[in-house]
Amino acid sequence: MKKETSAFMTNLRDLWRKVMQSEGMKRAIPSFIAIGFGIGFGILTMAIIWLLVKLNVFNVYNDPQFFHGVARLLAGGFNKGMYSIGNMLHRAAPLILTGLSVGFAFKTGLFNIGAPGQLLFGGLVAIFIGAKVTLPAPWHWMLAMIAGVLAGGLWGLIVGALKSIFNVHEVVSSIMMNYIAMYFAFWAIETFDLLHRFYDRITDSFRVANFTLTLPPSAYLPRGLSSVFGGFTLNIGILIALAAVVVIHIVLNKTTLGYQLKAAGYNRDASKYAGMNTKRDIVLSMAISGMLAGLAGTVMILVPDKKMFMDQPTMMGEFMSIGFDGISIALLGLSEPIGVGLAGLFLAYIRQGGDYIDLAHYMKELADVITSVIIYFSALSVALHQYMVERKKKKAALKQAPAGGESA
Amino acid sequence: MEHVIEMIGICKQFGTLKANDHVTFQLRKGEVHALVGENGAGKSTLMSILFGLYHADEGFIRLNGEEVAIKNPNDATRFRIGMVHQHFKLVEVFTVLENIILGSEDTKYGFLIRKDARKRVVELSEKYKLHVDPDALIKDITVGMQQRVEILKMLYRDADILIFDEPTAVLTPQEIDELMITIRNFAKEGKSIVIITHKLAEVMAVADRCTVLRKGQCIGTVDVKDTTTSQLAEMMVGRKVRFGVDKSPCKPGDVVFQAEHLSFFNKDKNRNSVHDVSLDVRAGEIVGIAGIEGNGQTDLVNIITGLKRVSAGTTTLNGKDISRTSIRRKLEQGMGHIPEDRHKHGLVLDFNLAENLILESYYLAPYQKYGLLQKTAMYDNAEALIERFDIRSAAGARSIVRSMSGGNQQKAIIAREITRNPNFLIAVQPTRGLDIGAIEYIHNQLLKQRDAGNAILLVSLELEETMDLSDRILVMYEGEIVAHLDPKATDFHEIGLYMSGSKKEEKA
Amino acid sequence: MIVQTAFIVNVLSYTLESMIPLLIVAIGAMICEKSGVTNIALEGIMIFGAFIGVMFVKFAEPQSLLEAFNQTNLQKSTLFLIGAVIGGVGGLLLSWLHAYASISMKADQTISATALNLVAPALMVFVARSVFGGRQIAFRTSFKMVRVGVLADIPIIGEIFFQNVNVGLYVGIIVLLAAFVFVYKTKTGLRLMACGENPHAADSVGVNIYKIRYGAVLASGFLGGMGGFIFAVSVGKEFEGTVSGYGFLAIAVLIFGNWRPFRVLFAAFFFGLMRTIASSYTLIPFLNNLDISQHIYKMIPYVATLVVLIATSRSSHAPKAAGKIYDQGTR
Repeated sequence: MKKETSAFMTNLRDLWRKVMQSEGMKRAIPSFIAIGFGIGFGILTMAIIWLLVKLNVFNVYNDPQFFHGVARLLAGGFNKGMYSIGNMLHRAAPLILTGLSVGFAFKTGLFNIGAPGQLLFGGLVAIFIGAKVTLPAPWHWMLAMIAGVLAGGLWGLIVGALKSIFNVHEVVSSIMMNYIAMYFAFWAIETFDLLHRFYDRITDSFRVANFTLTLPPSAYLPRGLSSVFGGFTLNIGILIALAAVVVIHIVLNKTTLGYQLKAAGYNRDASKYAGMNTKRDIVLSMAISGMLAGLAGTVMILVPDKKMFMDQPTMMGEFMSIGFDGISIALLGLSEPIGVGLAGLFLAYIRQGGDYIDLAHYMKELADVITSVIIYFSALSVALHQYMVERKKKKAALKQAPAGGESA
Repeated sequence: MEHVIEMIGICKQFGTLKANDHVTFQLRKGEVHALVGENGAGKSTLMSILFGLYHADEGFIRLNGEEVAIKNPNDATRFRIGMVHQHFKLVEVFTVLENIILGSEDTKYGFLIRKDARKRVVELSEKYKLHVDPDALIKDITVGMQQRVEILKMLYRDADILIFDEPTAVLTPQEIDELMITIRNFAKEGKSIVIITHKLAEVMAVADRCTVLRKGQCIGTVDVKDTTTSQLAEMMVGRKVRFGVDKSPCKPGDVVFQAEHLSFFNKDKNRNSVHDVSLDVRAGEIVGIAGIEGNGQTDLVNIITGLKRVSAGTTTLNGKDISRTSIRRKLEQGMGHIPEDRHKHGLVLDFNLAENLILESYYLAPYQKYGLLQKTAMYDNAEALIERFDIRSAAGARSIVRSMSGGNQQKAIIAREITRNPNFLIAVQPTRGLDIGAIEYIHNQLLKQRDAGNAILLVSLELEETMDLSDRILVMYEGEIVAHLDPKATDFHEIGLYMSGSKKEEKA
Repeated sequence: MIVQTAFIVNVLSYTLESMIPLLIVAIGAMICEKSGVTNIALEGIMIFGAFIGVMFVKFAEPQSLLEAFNQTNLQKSTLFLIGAVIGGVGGLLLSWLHAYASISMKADQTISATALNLVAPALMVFVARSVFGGRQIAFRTSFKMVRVGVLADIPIIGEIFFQNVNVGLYVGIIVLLAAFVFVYKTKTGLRLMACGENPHAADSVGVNIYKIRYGAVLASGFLGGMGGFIFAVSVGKEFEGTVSGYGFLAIAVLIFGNWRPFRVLFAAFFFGLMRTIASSYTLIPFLNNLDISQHIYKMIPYVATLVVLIATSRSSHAPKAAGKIYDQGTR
């Protein structure tokens, strides 16, 4: 018996060593460092605020409790046991999908800042199917989901086509498409009377408008498991997200399509010279990226009692922030699908913690700032580290000169 | 004879590469001093230190006997040191005048005053017979004129010590002669000149003394009149060097590739950069295209390979019309190409070696099955090629290509192209920036391909290479083929005349 | 006839108002890009500048509504200009982060800018909520000057330029002219362009690339912050934490204007016009009768941007080295 366990332990240890020393882990180190950096800075911010209150610079109702606050933040998704874990997984799903969308684009040499618009458009089409079409479950929500994915793909395809055919810079066109998506959403909701499906209470003006989305139950994504998650009803969004991680991982790393798109992303000229149809590839990459964002939008939307805000700043703010989250997650995950999955979970985790710091008498809004700071530093550190690594590689190239000969 | 510049014990390291290893270099006043060595020997680095672009790790510099610190090009300019770089440092959208005054502008309250500067430039231009148009845009003028602008930049700043880095790479034989005369005139005036070059014939023609560097170390300094090119070559490489290649006689077969009346309209230059070009290449022969850079060769290659679309004319490969087919179709029909810019067009630097080796065939069996990449096949292929072509890299087939040396990168490209066994191979500047060993190897590979019955189109700016390898030579000037020559029956001088448009073949 | 002139005058007035912040920010972006640094952080910079400038106004303006209403042109303009400068300084400080990351640290410029776009609004909303209890910051002064002295009586021109304007219009014109002179007629301008086209060439003649690029980024930050402030106070009497994508529109204007000052002016004018039409279509009987939803009109400037980009991107000439990290070691 003992021999078997020790053999097992040795195998386990070897496996651990293999994972720790693998190429992937080495490349992920900057992400870990960056996250550490970011969290450290976040904690520093909290400490400063605590100090300022202690020194009576600010007057607040209740003294912020520093250690309690930090504990809450770091405990993240574990704060309220399984309930908050469930909440965290729920939040993670759209984040992971958006991160995949942006990361996929990055891998293929494109910057998809249009994820918010693709998200919005995809979500909008999903609502449309949900509200206007009658089908039994599960066909109803499946159709809504597929439609949302295709819609997002279309939105991304437009940006790709503009770049491919007309050489329009994808950042600017994406942003334009974001705004167009938003106004289009407002218009569609009005015109197609999707509105009456949404309300709980209507205020007469559009300036501040809170609506709750109410769709027939067949349109929502299946959910359940409230017993497992301490009362939180989790839907299959997270499963969809994880499945997407696997699929994209396979596509990028194991298929010829992935090979082609990556080649085009790393060096468009050489790929063209080698015979690849780079014009078509740009469009394809953006379409796939858009589809992922559309899926994110669908997962976000097909949830009961979803609150919607109909004024520009809020809606824009909400969707843009998810879009930007996607960028940070992609960076943290080094654009690799598995990394993105982990980064998305991490962000959801921290945000969940942020939700609870008001229990330690820190302002709720602080959580947003802190998480933004964490992300900023994380993203920056990753980018910086990547650049440092590039420089090291270039210097190593010079090292080889005597063996092969190159002008110095 | 006093030394105007002394560089003593200079050491410079980049990472683990010792670019300069205790090098001592002394320049006498009024002399023309050549600095020679293979690519990578450290010549450019040494002069860049003199010009303030790099800082030496060890060693010091003396100017007219006094030790000085040259921390940046401004310091160098103040010490009246000037440099004409190998890759011109000119702003393309500026005029000639603006490029010359950049960094040394006359101003009044910050506003540019061009009047005096313009007068001075015209004076200098006439004094030294360096004709330029001060108001022309750099992107519109010829390479020869661009070089004159670089020289005027130095003279405008009263440079007394002039450094030329590979100045003849882009000139016709006639322009080279003119440059040599200009340089000798500078020397007569009392200016001191350093020429960095790897062309020994030029050293013999214009230099007084010559210092040889090899692998970062100074091998020695000799008086040019006391030495020969073979001696210099031996010092450069460390062993006896064979000039020229052994070529078996040419046995041309059927026409493999044919181009008829090709034209290409270049939008940037707003004119036809290729005009009514017709040529053919037969099996078992190497056709070389000679010409100064910028006379249409690049665009010609672009339209033959399909990177750009022809404006007029047809191309035929193995009897099939490929004028308007996609690049992939051309490759499938039997074309192969070794591009001019290996980093831009030849390799995906961030992929590893194995991935790069199947860049053109990844979608075919055995590398692809049901859309999935067959990695075993890919790595097997890589191992075989590494073995056969002696491609060296840190991590073998899994090395990221960016970390490989230029020579090995080029070997990888050649391995990839040759094993596809193309009937028609286009090689553009295949040995640019490589050392003698690599050059020999690549020349041999090209000859092997030719002897195996394939057709090769060679485009090169190194006349020697073209003469050595080609069975027939075509000269391009201003987008047209102006001469068909037999390498055995012509010489550099005659080719040079055609290259500069001074002579035109009567149309048969 | 009179009705039509009045109508055109109105349209031009509104267009100018829409256009000025866009113009100022785009000119800032032009200076930055011409030196070789891309700056898509302008949205965040504008928000930040607007926020700080508006905060100043809120505390510096007269505290009663009546007093605020009765301010003279001079008082209003002074308040405006100081607010603009303060907003500019705010933008400059924020852009320093971008400059540091992309020039000294040599990080990817797109990423560093995006990070700023994240942080700025988040920070702003946080402070606004904690200090004011809501995301909107309201102030009392209306910066429109009904008549600017005697000049307002000039027919047509007077009505457009000297009636119902705020002093931002003049600021914008000055910025445009100053930028033009700076870039094309001064020594530093020449060096700036060299840095953006071929930094190696500039370096080899002793131009300090780092200094110039830093300066350019900071200048674009200043102009961005100032433009943000002008945007905020031109729109109404409160600032809600967004600049409606103007930061990105400014980049589109820059591309449309092919990085040249007067073409940028034309581009900014074009967009201002689009926005004016979008918000005042109810006043145009013909359009009003078409009964198209207001949302479609709001889309117009953005769709117009796309159309314009499609038409011009083929032949656009960005500064050659824009966006590339400058590394002395590479040759």
